[in-house]
Amino acid sequence: MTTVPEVPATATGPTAGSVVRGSRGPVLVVLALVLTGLVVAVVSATGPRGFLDPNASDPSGSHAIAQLLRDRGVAVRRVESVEAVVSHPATTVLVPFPEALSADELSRLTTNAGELVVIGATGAGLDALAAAVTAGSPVPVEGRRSVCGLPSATRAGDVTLGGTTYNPTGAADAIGCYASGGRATLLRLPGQRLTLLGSGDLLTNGLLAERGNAALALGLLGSGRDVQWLLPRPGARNVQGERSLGDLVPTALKLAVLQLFVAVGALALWRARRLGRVVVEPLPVVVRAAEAVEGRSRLYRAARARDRAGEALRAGARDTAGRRLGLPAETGQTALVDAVSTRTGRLPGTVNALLYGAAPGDDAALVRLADDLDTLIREVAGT
Amino acid sequence: MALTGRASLLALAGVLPVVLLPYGVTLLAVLVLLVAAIAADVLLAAPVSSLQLARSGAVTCRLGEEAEVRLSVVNTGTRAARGLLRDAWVPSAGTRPRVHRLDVPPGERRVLTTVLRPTRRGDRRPDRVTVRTIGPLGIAGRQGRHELPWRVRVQPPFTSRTFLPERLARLRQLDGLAAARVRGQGTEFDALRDYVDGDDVRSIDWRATARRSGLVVRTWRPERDRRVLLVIDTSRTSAGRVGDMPRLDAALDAALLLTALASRAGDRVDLLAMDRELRAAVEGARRGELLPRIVDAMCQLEPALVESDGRRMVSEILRRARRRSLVVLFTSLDAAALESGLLPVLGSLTSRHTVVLAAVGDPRVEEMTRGRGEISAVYGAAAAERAREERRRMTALLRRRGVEVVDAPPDTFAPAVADRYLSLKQAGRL
Repeated sequence: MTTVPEVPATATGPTAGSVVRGSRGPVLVVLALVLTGLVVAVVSATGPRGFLDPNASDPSGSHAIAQLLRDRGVAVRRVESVEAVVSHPATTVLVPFPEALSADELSRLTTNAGELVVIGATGAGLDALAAAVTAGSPVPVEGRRSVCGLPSATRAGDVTLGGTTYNPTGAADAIGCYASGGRATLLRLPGQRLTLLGSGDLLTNGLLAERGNAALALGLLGSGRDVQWLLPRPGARNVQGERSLGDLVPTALKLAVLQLFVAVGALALWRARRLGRVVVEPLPVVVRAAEAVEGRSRLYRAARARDRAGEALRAGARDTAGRRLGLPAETGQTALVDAVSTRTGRLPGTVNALLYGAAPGDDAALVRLADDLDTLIREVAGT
Repeated sequence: MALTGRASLLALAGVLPVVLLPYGVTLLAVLVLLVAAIAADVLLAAPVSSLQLARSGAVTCRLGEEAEVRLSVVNTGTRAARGLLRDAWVPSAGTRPRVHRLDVPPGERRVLTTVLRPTRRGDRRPDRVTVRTIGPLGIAGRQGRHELPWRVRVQPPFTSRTFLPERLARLRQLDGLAAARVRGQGTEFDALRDYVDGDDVRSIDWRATARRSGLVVRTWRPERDRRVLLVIDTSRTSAGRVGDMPRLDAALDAALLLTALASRAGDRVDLLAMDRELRAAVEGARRGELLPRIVDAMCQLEPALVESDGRRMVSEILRRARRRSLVVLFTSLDAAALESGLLPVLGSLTSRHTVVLAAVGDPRVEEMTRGRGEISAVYGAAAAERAREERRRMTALLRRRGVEVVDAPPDTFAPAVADRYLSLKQAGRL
């Protein structure tokens, strides 16, 4: 171990300034990405979307009919829950998605004083509405003719209608229109001030201008002073008396969990910070030298090469025996067999069969051959 | 910046006020306090760049032995530098401890000692020195690094030097210091001296006796100033691990023993290591600096996974050894490698030089030849016999071409090579 005197060294890692300078590029790139995203979002913004939404301007929305109603002095109000519906004789409540309301809520709607228009109500919904009507199998939405006594339908003429079909079972004053095979796709129950529509497609922006769709829509919805468009917010249904899990957990526990997250975060930061980088090192390739020999032995075994294996063992034994007897390496078969049989007292025939015999027939014979050769060599060595 | 475990504990303790006063404000206050404490600790920690680091200590080390490298830390700042310091080295340097505790008051100096116990030959270098200074609160601190290049050259272990005294004794015997000086092969005229009882009468120099009153005998000594060229093959066959080290390391060990012996015997030793490329060469070193230079050249040798280039090797040897030399080739008896590499061009070498081919035998193959009883063991024995047969064939072929062959397992390899050198010297074949 030799030593040399100390040498001065001054080398340091990054400073705060160099970190800021070094990260300027990536920060700028991220900023540019965020800005581009914002610009794209603003430029391509199209407002709200949604099927039968009075605020949606896309083809499946219903902004057009809402605007038409407003032009005629009928206020259109988007209502998000049954509780918010105002009961008044001169109002119309439109329920585009009755399946989004519970039976309870639907039956509460029937107690309202105004008109009620329900789109695509079926089984349970019809029961909840207390309508003496059965729903039939749906029919395609297409242009249908108004053959009925409903004034607004008569005025509108052909409209695009289909969907659920209805068949009145009780009320005699029920008026069915736009029938398909005798079953109405529009059914009016004047007694209950209830109108059932098989589908709401005629109210969409895309189809409103076709046939008499707009006329029928205005006739159905524009009779009162306002329309309450009932679109329950998804997940807003709140059954009385039921509390969510969040309400049941005490605030202290919630805050404690948040604080625990902070603690775990600090723990992660502590453990994640390495004391210096991982040092790597190229290592030399080192193979076991006997690998090739072992591979050859497995090949012998896989190929059941008993002939080659037997010959290799015999050659080894011949070499050992020759050296033990002091014979030169190029001694011939007869001379070697004679010398070995003289030394061991075995018959030349058996020695010859052992050292130069036929290949072993099976694995057991090969194992036996190896043992026999060992015995012979021991006899030659005189031990 | 870096946090400690205490920062996490502090955050955990923050659960208590949050539970006692379950308002969002409490949570916010705890968070603000925590961040403020961490920020204060980071700001109050000693800056890592104000530390002055310097290295000193060992630059060489023998494989298997320990070396100490010291790191002096001077705190030029105004705040005490407490924390951790990691002097990172490559894994094969075997450094201990991995991380040092650091506590340097302002203006003072501390020395940290890293102990290396390398597991490989060659140059071991450090990576960065990483320092983490912790603030007075012990919850956070700063982390930075210093670059202090260094190099510890790890030399071959030369384990075979235990065989040297015995070989030197035999050399002295050859030299005639211990036994009667008789004329023989491989000797040259040394001096004339007076006859003493017991001297061989055949050694009497009658011409000198005629000029003097008493009997005068001639004395002889073994040839000196012969040339020995050690050629180490670093090609793919040297990568094979025999026992617990690669063939190359066994060859280096034997070459070192031979160098020590031959330089003591008054011969000049040169070294050449090559595969397809020349990897190392030591030429014309003076006696005193020979062994260190050869050791130094050996440090960097690694087996290369390429086939050796026999033609290139022979031409390098012939270019360097103009006088008749003993050329010791440390390679293997691998039939395929020899037949395609060295054998075709061996003639030009043996005609001008005495050539010894030293190959490390594999005890595992010997062990496999004794496999019996089970069929897989017998197949293994057959494969091993086949390998032995091939080695015998190569040995016989090389001997016919006038090459001396040393084939020994790793534990007796170095003395076997040294003995062959001595017997060649005795026979005057150098």
